[in-house]
Amino acid sequence: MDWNDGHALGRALRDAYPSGNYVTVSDAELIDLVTALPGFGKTAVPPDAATLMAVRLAWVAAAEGEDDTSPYEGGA
Amino acid sequence: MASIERDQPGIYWQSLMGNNGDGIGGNCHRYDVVTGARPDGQHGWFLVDYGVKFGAGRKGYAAEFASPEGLLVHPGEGGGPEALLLTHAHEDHLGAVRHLLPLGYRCPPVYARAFTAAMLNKSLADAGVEKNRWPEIRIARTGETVEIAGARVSFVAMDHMPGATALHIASDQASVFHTGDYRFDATLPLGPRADPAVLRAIGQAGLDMVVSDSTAAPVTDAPVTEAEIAHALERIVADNAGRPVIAGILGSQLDRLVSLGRAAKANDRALVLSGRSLVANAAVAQAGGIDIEAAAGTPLLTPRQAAELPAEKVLVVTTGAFAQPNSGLGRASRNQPGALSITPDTTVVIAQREIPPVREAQAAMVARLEARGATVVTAERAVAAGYGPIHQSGHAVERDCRLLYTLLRPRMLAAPVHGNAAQITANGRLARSVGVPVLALDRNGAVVRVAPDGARVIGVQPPERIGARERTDVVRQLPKASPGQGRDSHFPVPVFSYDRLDDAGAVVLRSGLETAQGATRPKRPDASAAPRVAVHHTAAGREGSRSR
Ligand SMILES: [Zn+2]
Repeated sequence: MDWNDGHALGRALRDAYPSGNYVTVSDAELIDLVTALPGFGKTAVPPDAATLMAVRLAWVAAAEGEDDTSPYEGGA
Repeated sequence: MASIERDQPGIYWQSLMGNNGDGIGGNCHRYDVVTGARPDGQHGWFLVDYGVKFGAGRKGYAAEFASPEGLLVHPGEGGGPEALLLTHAHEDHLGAVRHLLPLGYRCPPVYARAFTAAMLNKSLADAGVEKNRWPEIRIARTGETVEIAGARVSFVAMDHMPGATALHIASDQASVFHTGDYRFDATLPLGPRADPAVLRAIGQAGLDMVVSDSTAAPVTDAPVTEAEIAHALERIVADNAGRPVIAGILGSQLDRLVSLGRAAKANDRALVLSGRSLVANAAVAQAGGIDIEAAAGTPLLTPRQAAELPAEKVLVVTTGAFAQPNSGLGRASRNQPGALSITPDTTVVIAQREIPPVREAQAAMVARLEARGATVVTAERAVAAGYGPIHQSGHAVERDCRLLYTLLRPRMLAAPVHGNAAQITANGRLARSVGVPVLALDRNGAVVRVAPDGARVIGVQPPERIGARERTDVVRQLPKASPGQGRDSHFPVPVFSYDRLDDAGAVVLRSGLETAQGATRPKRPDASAAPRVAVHHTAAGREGSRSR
């Protein structure tokens, strides 16, 4: 896995750190958690902000399930 | 269709979608700036917002949005707008971008506040859009002025949701204030607040036109502040001491999440978040420096982190205020596997007023929760029980609209947008009541030129829409986890076919706009006997799969 395998990283983070806080984990902590995952490519270059956000959201998705945004959210 | 010449000096505004005869949504505005001061030509233009229209399932469309044909260009082509400016992160303001890119269009550089930009990227990631096609993002700070397409554009904080911004667009010829969605509430806890002194200064410096949100203009009740809501929520939680309490909101209501966090802290309960859209929005906000924990004064915990705490020492905030089937409340009401537990001593608080399209679904969900023994406090019941309001519209009510016009004092015109006919009429009446002339448009396409000699409609160019129909036969195939890397529970990404519609939503061309959206697989894993359906390429002949 490398930084571009967002969905796989999300599932791996969920399984490796079941008590991890995917809401408040800092960028620096998230990088440490990902690079410590078994199977993560050690030569991977540091992620840019959008890539890191994609990984963070993939962890949220793996832990929380399907998207549940209401189509009427903006009318509230 | 004859084109309308935009060749005289001034600022031109055109509502491409958002002044719809058939309901709110799909906001998209075009601004052209013609000035003599531009070194590389005298004409620049940009778009403000590119959203989808509300009403999932209407005529079978999951989304409708302003047609990009003749507006945007394809990669490698010249022309097109110089920028897309986003006022905030609601789907009716940015939700079309995820469709424009798979349709093969190039999105120009996006100017937005950091939270809005992160939410745009989230929507593209959720849609499975390849990252190399995401637009360039230029983060705009509150109060910042940026030169865009020959205009000076200032980003002005408004009260609506984190990151909400108005745009003050000024050239040497004219000036326009585009409110985006707004209200006035100095007690909203997250992000910079709308500053009446800033708005008054804009008006005093001389403003020609205001383009403004009409959604709640007919509401004559005094607005309720978020501080009052937080107080009511605190009392409700206090009166349910010793019982599990679950609160349902919408995923984007992060200010309401803070109010609930304050209610939890005041009642010595831990704050637990559940429900993907809420958790994702909160995670984006925290990562972007919008500190929900600091505002609430209590940590945000995951359900797993709170698993050892007694249920009566926790306040769970989850999704489902609009009864979405897969939300936290929706799943709990059906007792689905892994859902939040509902017991006969559970109190459920829905801190969001129902709106007409969700009324039946919400009533059914409340009935299911009650059938499982829960006590349900809806926004309506909270008022009846004497707690006071636990919800307020995010849009400007009558008092706010009047205040806006009083502060900005536009010299030439107010153009109400973002509303149905009644809402636009009400907003126009409020502008007139403080002496501001009004252009009340009940449809899209009118081109207004604002120049030193006045503001007037110079022509009407009825825009078209695209209707996105979710395909029932296939879903997008995302890469699977490597062997041994987690359970295989990746989420299917919907695949759309696109119809061309007129400005009233009637079909002009059905399924003429399908495009490559990557590899697909049959929608149901158990439908393997069904033939694999390939995604068609566009009828216009842009060939080749764009899957990578
Ligand atoms: Zn909004």
